[in-house]
Amino acid sequence: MFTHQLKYELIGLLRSRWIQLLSVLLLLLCLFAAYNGRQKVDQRLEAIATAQQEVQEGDARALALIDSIADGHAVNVSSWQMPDKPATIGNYYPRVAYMPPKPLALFATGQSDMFAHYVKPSMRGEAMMLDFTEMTNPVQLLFGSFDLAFVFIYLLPLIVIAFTYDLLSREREQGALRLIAAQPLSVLHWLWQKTLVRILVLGTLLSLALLLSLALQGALTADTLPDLLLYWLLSLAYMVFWFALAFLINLLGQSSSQNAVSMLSLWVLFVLLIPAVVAQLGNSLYPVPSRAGLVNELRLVTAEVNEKADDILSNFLRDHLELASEEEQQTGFWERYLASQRVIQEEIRPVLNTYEAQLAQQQQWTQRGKLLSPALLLQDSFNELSGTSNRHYEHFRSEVVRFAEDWRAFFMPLIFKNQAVDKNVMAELPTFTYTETGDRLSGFSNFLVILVYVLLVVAGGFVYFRRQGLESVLA
Amino acid sequence: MIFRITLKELKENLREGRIRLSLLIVLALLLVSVFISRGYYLSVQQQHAEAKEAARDVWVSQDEKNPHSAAHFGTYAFKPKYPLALIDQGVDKYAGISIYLEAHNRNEAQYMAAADQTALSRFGELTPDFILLFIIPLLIILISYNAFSRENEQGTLRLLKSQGLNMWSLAMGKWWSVFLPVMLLCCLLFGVAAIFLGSLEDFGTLAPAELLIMLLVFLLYYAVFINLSLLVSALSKNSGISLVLLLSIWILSCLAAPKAANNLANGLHPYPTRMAFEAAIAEDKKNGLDGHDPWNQEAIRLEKAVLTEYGVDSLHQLPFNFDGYRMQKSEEHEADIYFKHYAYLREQHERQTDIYQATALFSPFLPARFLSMAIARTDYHTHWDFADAAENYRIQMQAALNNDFAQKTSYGDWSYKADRKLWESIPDFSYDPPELGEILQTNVLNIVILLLWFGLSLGGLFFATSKL
Repeated sequence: MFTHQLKYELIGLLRSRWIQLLSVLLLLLCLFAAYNGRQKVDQRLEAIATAQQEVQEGDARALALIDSIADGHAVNVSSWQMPDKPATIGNYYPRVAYMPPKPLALFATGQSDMFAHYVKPSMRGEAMMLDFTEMTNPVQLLFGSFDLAFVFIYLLPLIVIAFTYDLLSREREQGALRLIAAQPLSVLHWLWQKTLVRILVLGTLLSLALLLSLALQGALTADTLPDLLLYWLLSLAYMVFWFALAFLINLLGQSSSQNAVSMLSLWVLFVLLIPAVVAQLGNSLYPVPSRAGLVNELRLVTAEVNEKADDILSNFLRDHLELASEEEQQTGFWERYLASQRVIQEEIRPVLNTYEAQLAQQQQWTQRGKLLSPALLLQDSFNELSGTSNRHYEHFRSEVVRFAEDWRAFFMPLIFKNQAVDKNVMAELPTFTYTETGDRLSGFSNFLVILVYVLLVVAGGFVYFRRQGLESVLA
Repeated sequence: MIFRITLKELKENLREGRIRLSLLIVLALLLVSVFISRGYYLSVQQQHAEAKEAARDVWVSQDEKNPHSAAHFGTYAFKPKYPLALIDQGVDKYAGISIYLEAHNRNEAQYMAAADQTALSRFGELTPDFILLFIIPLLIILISYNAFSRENEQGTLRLLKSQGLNMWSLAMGKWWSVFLPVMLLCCLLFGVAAIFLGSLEDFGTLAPAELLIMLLVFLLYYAVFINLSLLVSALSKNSGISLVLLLSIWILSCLAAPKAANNLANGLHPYPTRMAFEAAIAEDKKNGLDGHDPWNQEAIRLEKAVLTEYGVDSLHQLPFNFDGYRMQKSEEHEADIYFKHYAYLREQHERQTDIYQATALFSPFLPARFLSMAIARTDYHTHWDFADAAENYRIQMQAALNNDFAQKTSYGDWSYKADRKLWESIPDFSYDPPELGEILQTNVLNIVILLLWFGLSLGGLFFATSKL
């Protein structure tokens, strides 16, 4: 029976202009979105490459100068720019600390349009206070990007709705439903199979569109496969969720246009309203303290510390005897600066912690709130798998802060002991390597939660049908 | 006749459960969002006032020191929130709130609120502008998608025609029956907002005209959606198709077109990364006059020029301190470098704006979006204006400090210390956003495009109804 219906429905679907139009539309949307994603990733890679090249060129210049100095030649560089001084290298020859895109970063722009992907922390130790936000037109951030995540989260449900809102009601409105009900088959099964056929058709289209658009952008390689599989499962589960809703709504026995209204209201609820309310509550319940206030607090601390700079330095050297120069105690600018920076950081750390704590609370709230809508689950997983979630940028930030400490720690002994930078030192400069923070587990658990949604909705349909009986559908 | 049709349609609509329910939901959402927005506005305003006062206090109560050290110590400019941000928060949370004003450097505004929020808030938040721009057009579609298609399906259109009813009157009757409740809703919202705004102390800066013009922009935007909904409904064979089509139009104009415009703008006219921008400026500065480095080539050239100009042969004979003079010249030179680089940035911004405006021809959402945030002074243009004002203030502040140093000391004298009198003589930074007239002038294209949308959609509706 099922094969009969499969054949009949398939032919009907393939002949329908409406469906042909929708498939072409889906394909075009995916292609455009993947192209946009690629463009953003390329811009990111290019910026990083340029920055790295600049560093290499700078290093070559510095090495040449160091060579000349070693050979005893006079060099035409002002004193504070002399590359044999550790402070010069530490401040004016910083490394690029960068965050390479994950292989499937083109899938979801996430927070990547807002945060910088590379910074060059110098020895001054401002890394903790560095502004990691990218320079951008804020309108760009307001509207967001037309990426694959947008196509899947927002547009795919609408295509499903256009595909299914009159699944059963049209048959009823055309008078065919009573004929079908008169046949020896269950209307429930009939509708279920009809839905299944559409799931298969749209699922195939979706998979093809996804594969094609990723392949065209060169994102289809062996190492992307596990992530891609998870994307694919998540998208399919999300699509099936909307089919399940259509199944349920069709069983309620309303007219086609009422069905369309109900489906659209659900779309507005799950994709627009629940996310907006959850986000608003997160911000209202756990507001981050005033950044404007932080500015002044930091200034006061800095002024205070600068006043006591001399004391701080001698305390610091007492604590770090290994850094004290064997010759006469040097109290140059950098010694004083670095010592007081450390004190400033220690004083400001608790204040910064309050921001991070509030953000962590918001994050926690989001983790609970995302359970309220499959759209949120999908966004969360997409950002996570693309490496564009807040978590990734926080991770990058903490890696940079750690690297900045290493960088400074490398120069501190050189400065305090008044040691010159030579070729060997240049070869030993610390370099930044970003450690991935992958998390497929949360993607998989989100997938399972979406499946639970599907099961609940389908079960709801079955229970409703059992209770109300055939007549409510036919009427 | 139109009046009677309107009355009948209104009654019919209000009897329908789903319309009553959705009207109530939208009303509740609007009120809640205004309430939340008010709390947010008040707290931000208070933070701003406190920070501004504290920054001034830190500035005037700093120790006695060399004016140039004070210039390095610097101060902060904070961006005030304009009362109408209560209704439309625009790009505010994506733009920084404070600019550090120091010697030698023009800094970008720091601390955008969005960086302190989760990725979730990128979906949008429960703010009045979210409801006004996204949800109310959906409400309009919900009320009017079947205005004509239902008459068609039930066969009542034929009856009406046989009565000799002018189809345009029918269309207009239906038009008003959708417009009136929406208008009522909006007036209610703006009324509540006006009451909140009236209770604020700094309400004086806000003319009621602004609130009214903002209301007009939204009403015009809704009128476009009503035209489109009735148009599609008149052209569609059945209500289901009409609804799906209208939703596609909505999603295209409110979500897809703005995003596509974004990608287009960013692809064609990208901003440099912050690091690259800073590096380019540093490169230019390196080759120019360095106020701290008397042995720098440009500094030597300046020295010679000044000596010849005053006809003396040593810097000590000059009637002012050459160190301060050089510092100021270098400051002016650096300001020019910044001006050049920011001019490029502004050019990119203007080119991007052109793309948004071109896309607005496909989306009535865009002109309404840009107009409403421009009136609320929460658009990008206002942010630029603020940043420019801060930069002007910085330049004047540097000039005052450097000139004081140059005038009151002689060459080589770095021991001079200025005191509170000098700090106080530099006025506090204050920023006034552009006036309404200026805003309307810069947004004239948005107004024209929105009117064009209204005219064309109304013409389309006229054409479609005449063919019924």
